[in-house]
Amino acid sequence: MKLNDQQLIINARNKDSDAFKELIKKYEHQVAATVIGMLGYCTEAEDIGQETFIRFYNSLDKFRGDASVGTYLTRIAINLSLNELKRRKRQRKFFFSRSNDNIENVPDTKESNNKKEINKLVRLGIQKLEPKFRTVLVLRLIDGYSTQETAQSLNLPVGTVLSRLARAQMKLKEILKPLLRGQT
Amino acid sequence: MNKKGKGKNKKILELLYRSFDDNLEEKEQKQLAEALENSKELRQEKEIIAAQRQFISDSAAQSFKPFFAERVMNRIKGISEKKNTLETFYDTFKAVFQRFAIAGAVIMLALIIYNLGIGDSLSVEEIFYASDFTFEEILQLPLF
Repeated sequence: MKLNDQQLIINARNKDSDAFKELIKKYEHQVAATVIGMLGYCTEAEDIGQETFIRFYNSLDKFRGDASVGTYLTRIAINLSLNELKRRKRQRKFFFSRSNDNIENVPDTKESNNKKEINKLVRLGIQKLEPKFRTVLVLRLIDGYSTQETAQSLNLPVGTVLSRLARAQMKLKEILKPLLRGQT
Repeated sequence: MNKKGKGKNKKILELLYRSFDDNLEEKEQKQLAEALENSKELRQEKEIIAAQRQFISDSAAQSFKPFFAERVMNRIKGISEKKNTLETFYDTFKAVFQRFAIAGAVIMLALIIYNLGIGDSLSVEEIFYASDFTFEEILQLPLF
């Protein structure tokens, strides 16, 4: 019999490691979508993903269920990802940045009709956005939260989320111009 | 295009973006529908926005590398073991310290009883066998 989140949490609190493992498996895709959406595919993304679940494990006793497990995990993942972006920014001040994330020349879709390739380009395009724009885009369009839920998660007014969403999409449209040209 | 026209276009574009994420008021809906009907450019823009949003949604990663859950559980286990080791160290230290403290207290008590036995009165000086020394003298005593 499949247990629901509440039952899994109760069991995990009682040191049932299988119950917590079940929760990880259930929410891995959601945390992966958030963290990789924010940071791209990199070793840090896996670390942040792991850290998200470890923090959740350590706060199991405090988890009251006001928010769903998915929302709770997404909040942790977003905060940790933003911390990681701040760390990268600090690091960049001292060292030269890596240039492998440069996508000035997005190839035409005819050359890259492979879905995997397109996804990679879109992800790289998202990485070009400022964190505040990236965050709303990831929560709304990748994680699929409503505008209200996104605003709640980030403690922002709905109006701010809407304007950031619009600006993020406008900026991304410029970055992905060649890719989008082939679609319309 | 004049300033007024540019401002109107900007407003319509904002409405267009907002229409994907928010419920527009009836008046706004009408305004946008009208603009879409009259402008091929705007219709194209709408298609581009929709395509881009689809691209973004499709780009969502599905998982980390295989055996992610197992790696997390191993880390949790490692942290718990480390915590247990620290707790064990603390408990051992506490137990040893307790023994030393008890032994020290017993020795002190024995000395007090002994000093009381050989002394003439029950003053603090007699108990600690310090009556023959002044405070300055104690400070001047060699350490070893």
